[in-house]
Amino acid sequence: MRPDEIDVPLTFEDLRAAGSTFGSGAVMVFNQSADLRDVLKRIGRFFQHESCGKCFPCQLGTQRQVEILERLESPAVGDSGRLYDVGMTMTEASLCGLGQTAAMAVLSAMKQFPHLFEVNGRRA
Amino acid sequence: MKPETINLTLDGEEITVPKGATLLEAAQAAGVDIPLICYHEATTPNGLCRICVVDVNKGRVLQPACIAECQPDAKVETRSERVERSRRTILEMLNASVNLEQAPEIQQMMSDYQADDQRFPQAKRREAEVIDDNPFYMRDYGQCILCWRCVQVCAEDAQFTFALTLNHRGYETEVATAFDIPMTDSPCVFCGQCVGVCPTGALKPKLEWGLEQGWTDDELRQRTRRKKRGKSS
Repeated sequence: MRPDEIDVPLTFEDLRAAGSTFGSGAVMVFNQSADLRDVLKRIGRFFQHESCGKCFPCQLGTQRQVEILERLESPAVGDSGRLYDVGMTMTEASLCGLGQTAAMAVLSAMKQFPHLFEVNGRRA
Repeated sequence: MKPETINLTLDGEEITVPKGATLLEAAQAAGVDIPLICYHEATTPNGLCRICVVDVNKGRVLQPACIAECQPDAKVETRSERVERSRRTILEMLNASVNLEQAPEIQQMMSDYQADDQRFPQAKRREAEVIDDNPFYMRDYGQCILCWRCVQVCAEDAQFTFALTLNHRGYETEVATAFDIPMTDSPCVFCGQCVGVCPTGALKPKLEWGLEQGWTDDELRQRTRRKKRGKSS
């Protein structure tokens, strides 16, 4: 969420309406010097490590997602489309809540901070 | 007494199915094709591969047709845009991970869903050394898609032998014997059911493997039979 969007009550409904997610209720604040690509990378590694491997979308998707996030500074051609399809597939087709939320941060970053996924001002 | 039925809409068509029918059974009865990978009629469906997902009432998540039951007045779409994206992406991710050369059904799905076989460049593949530890079958986990069918038929779905299990987790998950002991030291009775249900050639009869490799008759004889017990003459 951007600074002008954080005046939201901490409830499931209000956060969902604001396009975010409550999760475990944790709030992390980053100032403008934070490296959001690095934040996404860490989140990606977390989900890759936590996936149990039962259903295909999460087992494969958390791996494919982290591979793309690891190279965010110098992405391959088509990486943002790839990341979006992996994210939506995990969100919509995974068996449990872990896979269904594994791409939440990435998908919202794509919406809120599109420049993270650009190279020389163009979408990767 | 007439059995209870449910009415719902499948791809715009009104259909009537028995209460308790899965979305897959409803689709099959209506002649609508649903792709299946992990599903096998002899094993308990677990909804692992998610290739059979369908859109029910435009819900937050898609439903696996193999296990989700039909609900009254549901509007089910089997080829909506989000269904197609999930199916195509699962196939592309799978193809980037596993050797699918000997899985013709999945290759056919790749072409049905216009999956790009080069979609994920620089993807880490799941490679494995071929395991040759018994006279009956070979195991090449580089071709394993983790459908669990072999583990299931070895356990409660057929044989009650429990020789196979899953090691590690996430992307590193692999089918193995407990503690990775050789199959001959495991409870395996070499019934062959696991080989019979494997959809990708990861498990293969050793004779078939040897013939493909061009083994001579002598090699085939030596490598597919157990050593004689007791006195050697």
